[in-house]
Amino acid sequence: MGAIYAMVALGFTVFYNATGIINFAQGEFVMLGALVAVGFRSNFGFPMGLALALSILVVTAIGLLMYKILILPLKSRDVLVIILMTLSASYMFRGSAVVLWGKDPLPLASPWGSKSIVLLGASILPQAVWILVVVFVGVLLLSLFFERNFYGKALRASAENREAATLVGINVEMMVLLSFGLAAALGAIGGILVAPITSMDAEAGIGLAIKGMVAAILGGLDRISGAVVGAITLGLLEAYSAVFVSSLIKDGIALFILLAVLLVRPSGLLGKQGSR
Amino acid sequence: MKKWSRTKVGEETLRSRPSFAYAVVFLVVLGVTAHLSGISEATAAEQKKLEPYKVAAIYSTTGFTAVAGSEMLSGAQLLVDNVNKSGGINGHPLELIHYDPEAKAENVTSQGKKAVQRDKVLAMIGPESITFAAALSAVANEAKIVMIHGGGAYGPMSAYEFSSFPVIGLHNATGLFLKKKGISAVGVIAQAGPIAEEHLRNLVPAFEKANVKIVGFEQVQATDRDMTPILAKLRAAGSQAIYSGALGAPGAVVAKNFKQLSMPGFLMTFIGNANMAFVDLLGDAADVTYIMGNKVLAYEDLPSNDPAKNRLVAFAKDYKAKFKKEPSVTVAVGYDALLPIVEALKVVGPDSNKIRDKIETGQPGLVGINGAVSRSATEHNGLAPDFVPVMIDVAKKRFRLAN
Repeated sequence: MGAIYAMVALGFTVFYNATGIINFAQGEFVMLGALVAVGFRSNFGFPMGLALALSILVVTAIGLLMYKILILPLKSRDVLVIILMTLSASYMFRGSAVVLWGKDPLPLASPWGSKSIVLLGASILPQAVWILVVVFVGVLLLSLFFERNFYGKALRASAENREAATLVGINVEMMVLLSFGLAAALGAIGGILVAPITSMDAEAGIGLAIKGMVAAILGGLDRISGAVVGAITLGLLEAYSAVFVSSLIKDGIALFILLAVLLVRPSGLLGKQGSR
Repeated sequence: MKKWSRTKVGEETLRSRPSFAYAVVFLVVLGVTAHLSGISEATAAEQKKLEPYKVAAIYSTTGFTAVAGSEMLSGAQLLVDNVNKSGGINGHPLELIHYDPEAKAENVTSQGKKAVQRDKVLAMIGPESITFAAALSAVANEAKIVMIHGGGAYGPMSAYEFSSFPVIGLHNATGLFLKKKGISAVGVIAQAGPIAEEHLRNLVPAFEKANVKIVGFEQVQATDRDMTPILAKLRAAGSQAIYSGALGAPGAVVAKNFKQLSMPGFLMTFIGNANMAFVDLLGDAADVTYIMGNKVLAYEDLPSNDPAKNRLVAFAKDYKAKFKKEPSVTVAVGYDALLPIVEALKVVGPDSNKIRDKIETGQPGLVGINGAVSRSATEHNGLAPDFVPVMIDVAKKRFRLAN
């Protein structure tokens, strides 16, 4: 479960690093990634690989369109307005998904089978292994991108200070567009990886988004690796609370942690203290 | 200043023109539709000689209980077709009006009131789940109109509330089956809310009676998608098999996690999950899953001397002809909810109170699809179903009798 939250949290962190805002539609990208893949797979009978690739492309395109249609025409560049716009976009995506796929949970078969591997006495799903691999490769690539690559630095610069970034010749609009595409693609990959384990329904995005957001804030929003640390901590805490207290209290624990982190260490476990 | 205000006035007049055009179009459309609907009402009135008997079907066809709701609705529609084909009820056509409360209790109340106050129905069937039954029973009792829901309840209920879900004896049958399979210690997982409450009340004593020890009783939420910690805990407590009272998606996760952890024994679940949507969610965990179902699911496998065989084969044939898919327990629940209302209308006519009394005490041994029903003042379900354990035939995508 920690690996699943990490996939969602990564999208939040990337978006936050690039724009300085939290994208409330991130959970919906995850949901759409899974459901579009289900659609291509079962309605059009595409082979698994093609369906997954197409799903990532489609959701990335939705992310880009969301920016072009909903965010770009906004007169106000106020962070609050953009956050509200992502929130309304998330409602719109959820509503459309309910119309297209209904509210029932839909299964997506795992391309790697669901026979578990026994490793050191614990049984692990190949799917979970793949999620972990993708998460770690993703973190590595994204960290390199943001720390070393020119465009990655440009992205962070635009988040830090728009005017200054424009002055030194960075195309800020392009950078924000890029971050929307990146976040949507990450969300879609997350959805595709998660769906075989949990199954996906049109309304599951919001629940995953909350957990992902808690994980991202817990780990520190300005660090890519923070998302993973936060997500795995959250996943473990949930599992232990289910065993030692009750499964009923799990979700409450996530929100309690969010409150505690915001009160005690607002920059998260790995975040730079007082950097903002 | 003057210049500014003049351009503004100019804009206003420009804008008002298209809105005038829209208004005209709107009025024309309105007029045409009103005219058309007037025509259709007139022809309908000419065709129908006797007033139709109206029954409300309050089943969610959207929302998290949509699978059960849609299937129950289709079962009831099959009965409506049969009744109207054979000339209606004493010449009156039977009209089933569907309301979709979208799996929300507040909508169950509002749609129920709409049925009673605006459409003046004689009786109501639905809702599909015990979770919403209380909402509709309040409406039914206030309006003094009978309602027969598809929630797993039995025993005494409020005056106008009845159930047609096969549940009486379910836990006893499950306990005996576990014992027969050599299980003496079982871990129980139940969905928090009405299901868990019902299990604590009825399943625990039934399993104890069958000498099956419950080593742990864990509650899960409908939104839970990881049951591995709970399963590991139950395994550590010494479970030889797991019983799961989680419905739909969380229920499928229990089965999948059960298989992933290579848990000992098998996974036993209940009749609420006996549908193909659940089987689809199960994936390859289908082969470790037993479902305590009934004969409707495996009608093909029944021996020819089984008294239910002919009834179920005929029902399945009719249902497949109309809906192009196999019937299920929930389909039969919808059929069985409408059946006593139809039978009562035949005898007592459109009198809501007489319908209620007839259903409560005047139909001993009425045979529906899920079994024979004998209701009384203290038993508003009264269905005595024959439970049989089933497994899933993955290749043929159907249920088969388990050994």
